[in-house]
Amino acid sequence: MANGPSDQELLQAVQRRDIGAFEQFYDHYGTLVYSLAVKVLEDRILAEDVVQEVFLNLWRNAGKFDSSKGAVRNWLLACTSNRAIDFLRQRQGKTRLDVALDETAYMLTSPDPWGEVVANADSALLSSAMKELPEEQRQTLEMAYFQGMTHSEIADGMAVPLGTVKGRLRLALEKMRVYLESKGIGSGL
Amino acid sequence: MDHGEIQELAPGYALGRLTPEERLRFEPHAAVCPECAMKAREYRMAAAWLPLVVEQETPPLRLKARIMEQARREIGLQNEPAPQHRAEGAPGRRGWFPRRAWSAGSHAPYAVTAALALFVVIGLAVWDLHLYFRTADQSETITQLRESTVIAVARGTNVQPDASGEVVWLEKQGLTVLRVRGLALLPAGKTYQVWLIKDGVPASAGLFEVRDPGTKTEAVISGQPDHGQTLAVTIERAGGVPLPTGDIVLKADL
Repeated sequence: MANGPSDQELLQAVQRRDIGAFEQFYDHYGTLVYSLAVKVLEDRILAEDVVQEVFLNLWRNAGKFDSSKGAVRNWLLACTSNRAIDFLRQRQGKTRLDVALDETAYMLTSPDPWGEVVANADSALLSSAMKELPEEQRQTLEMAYFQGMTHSEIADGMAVPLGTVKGRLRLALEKMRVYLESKGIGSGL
Repeated sequence: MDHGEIQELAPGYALGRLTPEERLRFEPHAAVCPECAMKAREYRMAAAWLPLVVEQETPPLRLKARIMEQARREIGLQNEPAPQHRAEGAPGRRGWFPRRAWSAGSHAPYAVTAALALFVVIGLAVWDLHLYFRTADQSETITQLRESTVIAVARGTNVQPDASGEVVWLEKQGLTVLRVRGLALLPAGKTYQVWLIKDGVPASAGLFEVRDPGTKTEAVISGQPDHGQTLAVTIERAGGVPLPTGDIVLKADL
């Protein structure tokens, strides 16, 4: 997206109810959002519902978005992840993780890590990095992020202590952070 | 909970996977502890790439249509044709189909396609019995408008510049239809044929006739319209043909 309006400009246009700008947001991020929803839910029909909800939430609440807190795409993906996990946990009869769709400010970062990630890494490289994690760390990370499991649920599922789960998550994310830094993606903090 | 125990919640917090109780412990602490806040941001940075690891899958066309339709509805633009917008950086459309590809003697490259198209034609001969076309019935149109989503706008070419239409997804029926107006009546022995073209390869998607150019005509599109395809209408001999031979009269980019 080197040419054309930035996400910030598009967002401002969406705030003015510019349907064309909203369509561009969908064209830019629809596949990413849908793919994440499908991965979490393993159900394409439900994934469509999540995508619809996420984008219409953007459409309706663009005016409330504070760009100083982070990038729109991070917000879209965070909403997608949380909403998909909501559906998943509901389907499994579990309690919600209490992250409202429009209260994901805490998920936003500044500066925006996403631009660096996209600019400096590609999907295959990142997938390899994931595969290089020790099996138990990779599994823990997947259970947390893609299956929406809490520490306790992962501990029960893997039959390990709670502290072990927390440690594995920390190590997995530390390793990924080191990997990203080795690719020139610093924390910038 | 001591500081170490709270800090152990930072990865889960970054992933958005804390229970409400855990979050209630972590957030107030991180608000006053730069070290824990820093940790959460670092872990969030690392977690930001996770969606990229996922195998990418293009969402179905109807999903975009549904979302845009709802957005338009919310600002009072219900049932207006979708404006043509291209994503920035999207490759520009080339000519929709190389003209040379269907001049005499150039069908060789499409030998395989022709064989497949033959099956399509045989299928069409059976399907043709079930194809329906109708002029606009007001009450039925209104009902369908409520349950339909415009996927793309079709425009007449210089052959029939007054023609126009929409590609519409009928959710209830699970059908995609081409709704047209302004197409000319054809002489006996001729029919309009719909094509779905992807990567320069056309596949027949139905036949229809126009009985009254002043009213709408609808044709069910067989096959699965998808992103990146072009829908085209040509004039062919009655019964259809395996590959397009006539000029395009109407076109829509899906």
